[in-house]
Amino acid sequence: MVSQAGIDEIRRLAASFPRRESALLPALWVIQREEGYLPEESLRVVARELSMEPSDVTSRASFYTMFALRPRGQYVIQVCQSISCALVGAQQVIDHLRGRLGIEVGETTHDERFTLLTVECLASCGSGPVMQINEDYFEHLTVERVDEILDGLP
Amino acid sequence: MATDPGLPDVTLTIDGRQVTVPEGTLVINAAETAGIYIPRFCYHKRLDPAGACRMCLVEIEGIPKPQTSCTVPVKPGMVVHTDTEAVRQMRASILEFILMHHPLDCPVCDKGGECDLQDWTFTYGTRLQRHDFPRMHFRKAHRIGGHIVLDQERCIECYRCVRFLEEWGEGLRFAFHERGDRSVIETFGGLPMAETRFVGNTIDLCPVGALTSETFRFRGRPAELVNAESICPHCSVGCNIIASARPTLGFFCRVTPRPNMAVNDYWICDRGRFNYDWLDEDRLLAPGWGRGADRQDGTWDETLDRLAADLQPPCESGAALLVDSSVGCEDGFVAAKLLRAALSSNAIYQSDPAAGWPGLTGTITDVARCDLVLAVGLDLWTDLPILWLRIHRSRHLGRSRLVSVASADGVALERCDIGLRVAPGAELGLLRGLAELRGGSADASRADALAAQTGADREQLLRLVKRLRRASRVAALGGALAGFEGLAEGLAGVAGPGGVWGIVPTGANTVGLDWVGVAASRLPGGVPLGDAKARTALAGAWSAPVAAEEAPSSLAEALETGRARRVLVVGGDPIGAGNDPLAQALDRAEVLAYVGTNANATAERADYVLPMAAFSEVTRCVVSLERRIQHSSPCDRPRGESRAGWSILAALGRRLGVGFDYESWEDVRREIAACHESLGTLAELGPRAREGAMKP
Repeated sequence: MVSQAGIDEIRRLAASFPRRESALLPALWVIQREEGYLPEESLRVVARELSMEPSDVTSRASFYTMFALRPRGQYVIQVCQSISCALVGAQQVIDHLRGRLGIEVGETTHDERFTLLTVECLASCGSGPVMQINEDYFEHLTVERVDEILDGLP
Repeated sequence: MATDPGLPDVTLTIDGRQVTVPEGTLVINAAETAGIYIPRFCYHKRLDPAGACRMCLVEIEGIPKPQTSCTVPVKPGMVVHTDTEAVRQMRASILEFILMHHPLDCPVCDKGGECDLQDWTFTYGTRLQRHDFPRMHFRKAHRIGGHIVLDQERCIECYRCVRFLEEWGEGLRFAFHERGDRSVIETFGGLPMAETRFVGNTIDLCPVGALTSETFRFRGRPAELVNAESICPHCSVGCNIIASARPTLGFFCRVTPRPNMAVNDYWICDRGRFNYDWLDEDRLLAPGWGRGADRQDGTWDETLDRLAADLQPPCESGAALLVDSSVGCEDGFVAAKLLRAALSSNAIYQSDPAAGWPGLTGTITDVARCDLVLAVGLDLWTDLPILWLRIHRSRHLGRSRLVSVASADGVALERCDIGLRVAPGAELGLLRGLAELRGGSADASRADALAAQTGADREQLLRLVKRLRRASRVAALGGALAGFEGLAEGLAGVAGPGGVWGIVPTGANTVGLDWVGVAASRLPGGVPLGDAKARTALAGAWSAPVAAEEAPSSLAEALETGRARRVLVVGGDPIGAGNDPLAQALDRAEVLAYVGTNANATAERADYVLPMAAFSEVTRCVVSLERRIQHSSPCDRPRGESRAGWSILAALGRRLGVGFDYESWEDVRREIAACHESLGTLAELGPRAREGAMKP
C-alpha cells in the first residue's frame, strides 16, 4: 500500500495541474518507485486522489510498457535489442541471461531476484550491447562481463 | 453530431446528387440526407466522431487521400464519391483487416442476425483472408457485471462503448487496456462492475458481439422475436422501448431503447433494460380466493361472483381503492369508476405520494435546456435515471449545472455540480431564501443568514447563489424527500418567470391516473369532487349514481378510522413495498382483493387474487412526468388466465350492477374521453403516435 508520504506527493502533483487527472503519469511513478510495481489497491488510491474511474487508471497504466502491473524482481534487467546492439551481439547477451537465470524474457526468477526484459533503444548506440539494471547502465557487454556484473550485485 | 439549426446552409455534391445541409454537418450525415448510407462501425449519431474504424472512407475531389466521412465537415462545392471502385476496394480491405483477429464464431454468437460486421462483410467483404498467422486469443464469456458479458476477441475497437461511458455520464466503468494488437476492453482488475446505471446501452452500441446481455444471451435470434413499441413501466420519464418476447415459447426476451429525442434520446437505463424477470417468474396464473393455506383456485366467474357478493352494497364497511402508479390509464379509470359508481366510495388513492401535486410546467427538453437545474429532495440518479442523463448531457456540453439539495442521507447529493445538505425540514426555507437572493441585490450577509437558518454549508451556498444569479433559465424540481406542503410555491419562486418548475412524480403513470380520476378529491379531467354538476353529468354518462361523500386524505387514514374495510388493490405490492404503516393498515382490511401480476406479499395476504396481464401483454396508455401521453402495444400473450386489468374490473363492476360494457381498450379510452373534454387526446392516441402527444 502506498505510504502517506506517497499520497501527499500525489496530492501535491495533482494540485499543480489545471486538471487533476493530468497528474496521472507522475502519480504512477510515485507508486512504482515505492512499491516496485503498481498494485491494484494503490491504483485505487490514485483513482480516488485524481477523481478518475479506477478502470481509466489501469487503462492508461497498461498502455505504457515501463509501468509494471505485476510484481517484478529485485533487479530488473532490460537488454536493448534495437539494431545497433543487435549488430554487436545483443542476442548472445539475452540468450546467456536466459540460460543463466533459467527464465524467458518477461519472466521473474523464483527467488524474485531477477526480472528479464528486452527493450528498444536505450540511447547508447555507440557502446552496445547495452543493458540497464534498475537505474544503472552497463555498456560494451560480453557474456563474461554479464556474469561479472551479476556476480557483483549485492 | 448535432448542428445548430441557425447555421447557414452548405450545398455539395455526393455521388452526383446535390445536397444542401447546415454548415458543420459531417459528410457521413450529409450523404444520409441524400439517401446514401455510408457503412460504419465507430460512428454513431449520438457520440462524438472518433475516426477509429476507417469503414466510412470516401473520396473527395481535390484531396489526394481517402477521407473518413465521419470526421470531415461539409464545405461549399465539395464533390464526394462514395461508390467508386477505389472506395469499394478500401471497404473490402478494412473488413479483411478487422476480420484478421475476429473469431468466426457467428453460429454461437448472440449478435448473429443483428451484427453490423456480419452485414457489412456480406455487403462489401471479400470471401477470402490472406494472412496465415494464428488469431489473437483473449477472454471469452467474461462476466463484467452490470448484466454484461464481454467477449474480448470479438471486439473490433470501435470505441463506441467507452465513448458512450465518457460522454453520457456513466464514467469509464471499463476501458481499453494494453495497446496495439493486445488491446482489450477490461474492467478495473478484471473485476465485475458494481452498481451500474446506463452501461446496458453499450450492448446496443456494440456493432459486433463483444458486449452482449447476460439476461438475453441465447434466448433467441432477432428474427424469432415478436417486437412491440412499448413504454417502460419503471419510472415517470416514460422512455420509449421495444419490448420483445417469444410468445410461442412463453417467455419475455428483452427491452431495448426506441429513439425518441424528446424523451430518452437513444438510451434507456439499466433498471428499465434488465428488470423484467418478473414478467416470467412468480406470476399469478389463476384467479382464486382464501388466505394462506385456505387459498384455492377457481374460475373467473366463480371468483368474481364471490368477490362481488363480499363487496355488494349496501354494506356498513366502506370500500377503498389503491392503484399502483405504474398501472395504465384504462385500468385506473375503470377501477376508479368501479369505486365511485358501484361501491359508492371516493376513497381512491395512488401509490406515488407525488400524485395530485402540481407537476412539471415544462418538458424534459425544457429542463435540459435550462442553464441551472435545482433538484430538491429528489434523487434523479436513482429514481429518474434518464432525466438525470438528459440534464447531465447538457452539463457535459457545458450548457448546464445540476444542483442537488436534500436533508436526507443518500446519493441525492452526488453526481451533481453542487450538493447541498440542509437540516431536515429546511428545504422550504432555503427555496424562499434563494428566490429572494436570486432577484434582490447581492448581499453576502443575507446569504450568511440563510446558511445559518438552513444548516447549509456557507461556501456551497454562496456558490449556488452566484450560479443562480447568473442563470438565465432555471429549472426547480421537487420530490418526496422534501415534503410536499408549500413545495410547489417554493420551487416556482426560485425558477421565476420563464423557468421550469414542479413536483416530479416517480410512477410511470402517476400523472395519467390522476387525470382519469384515480384521486380521492378529483373526478376524471381533474374536476373537483365537490362539483355537483360534474357529478350529475358523470352519473348520467355511467347510468349510475356517483359517490359524493369526501374521503379521508390517505388510505392508511381510511383504514385506521374504519371508514374503509374492504380494499381493492390494483397493481404493485403495497404490503411488500417497505411502507410498514400502510402494510399494517392494509392487514386490517376485512376484504382485500388484489388485481395484480405477481405472487408477492400483497397477493399472499389477499382474500381474492385476480391475475392481471402485465404491461407487455396489453395495449395501454401512460402519461409521463412531462404530461406526454404515450401508447404502449403488447409483444406477448397474457400469462395463464390473466387478463387486462380493465377487463377484470369491468367484469366485477357488471356483477355489482353497473354498466361496464367494453369490448376492447378502445372502448375504455372512448369512455375516458367522453368524461371530460381535456381527455380527448387519450382516445385519439393510437399506435401511430410514435412521439406521444402532449396534453395542452
